[in-house]
Amino acid sequence: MKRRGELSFEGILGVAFISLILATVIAVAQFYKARNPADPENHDITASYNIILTTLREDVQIAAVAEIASDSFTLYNSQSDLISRYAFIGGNLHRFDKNEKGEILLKGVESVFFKTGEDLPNLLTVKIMPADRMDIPFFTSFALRGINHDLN
Amino acid sequence: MKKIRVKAPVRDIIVCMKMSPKNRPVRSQPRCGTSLMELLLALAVLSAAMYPVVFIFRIGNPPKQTNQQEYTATLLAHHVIETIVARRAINPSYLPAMSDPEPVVESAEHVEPVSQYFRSISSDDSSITETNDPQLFWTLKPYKCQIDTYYLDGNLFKAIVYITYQREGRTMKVFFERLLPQKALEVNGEGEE
Repeated sequence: MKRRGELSFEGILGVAFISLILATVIAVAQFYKARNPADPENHDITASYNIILTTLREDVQIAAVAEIASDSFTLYNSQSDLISRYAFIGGNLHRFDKNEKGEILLKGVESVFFKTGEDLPNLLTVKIMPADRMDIPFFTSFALRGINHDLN
Repeated sequence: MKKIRVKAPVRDIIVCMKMSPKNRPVRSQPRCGTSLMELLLALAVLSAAMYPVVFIFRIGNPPKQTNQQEYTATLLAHHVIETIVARRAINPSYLPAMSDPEPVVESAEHVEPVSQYFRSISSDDSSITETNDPQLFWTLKPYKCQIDTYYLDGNLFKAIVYITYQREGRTMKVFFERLLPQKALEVNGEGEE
């Protein structure tokens, strides 16, 4: 005899199936929302910094010379061909490739500072101060590896 | 014949609830034991069944970089490693000197000198102070940089850069490693720092 409140085996399977489908739908929605950079709730400065870090690391692999201006720097390879240009324009950090095709790497930038050392011309130091003072600044350096491929 | 369901009056229900334990129907003891076993079994099955659900939620969640302190430490370690790489590009026999934990900014509170990798990083080729770059100074003040260099087999050195900082009373460390081959050792039989 079936007791009160007892589910049949098919009933348990049905509940488990519905629970799994619901959980999957919620997880997919969560995943989509988190991966959507247009969503203002997903503002995470480190995610933007990661893009800058990755892009610059790719560029310095083949860069031999960095030409520094006040709000920009340009990377050239050992044959003096343009690799990319990074510029601070209108509160945003832009990257222009060799075809001058631009993209915004970071929005809401207060100031930038680029330098190469006198004793180390092959070391590019990048400092980015975000407009939002609650965010951390970006400060790191990149060795221009295009001079000596053994470094890679 | 027409069946009529009669709802019990509230008073009767209350009387039933107040019935003494003696008058309640007594369940047999083996029935209780079986129920407990069933409950435990159900819990075990449910725990196992929940694993895929938890896994789905875990992969659905993005790996949030909420710890900005750790991220800054990673950037600083990257700066030091890249400086070592740049120095070796100019002088292939260069090896980073071992050091104790040293501050990365110049402050009156620090007794130790600023780490050599952070002595000329400001716009005026000096170390960062509270006056020349206050925002970066306060961000980098908690960090210290330590270098360890080891000799491995086959004329190979290993440099480890530790960036340490305090979080909730605990010393946290971020470290980067880099292998540094010494070609000069093979030629000259000795290395230089």
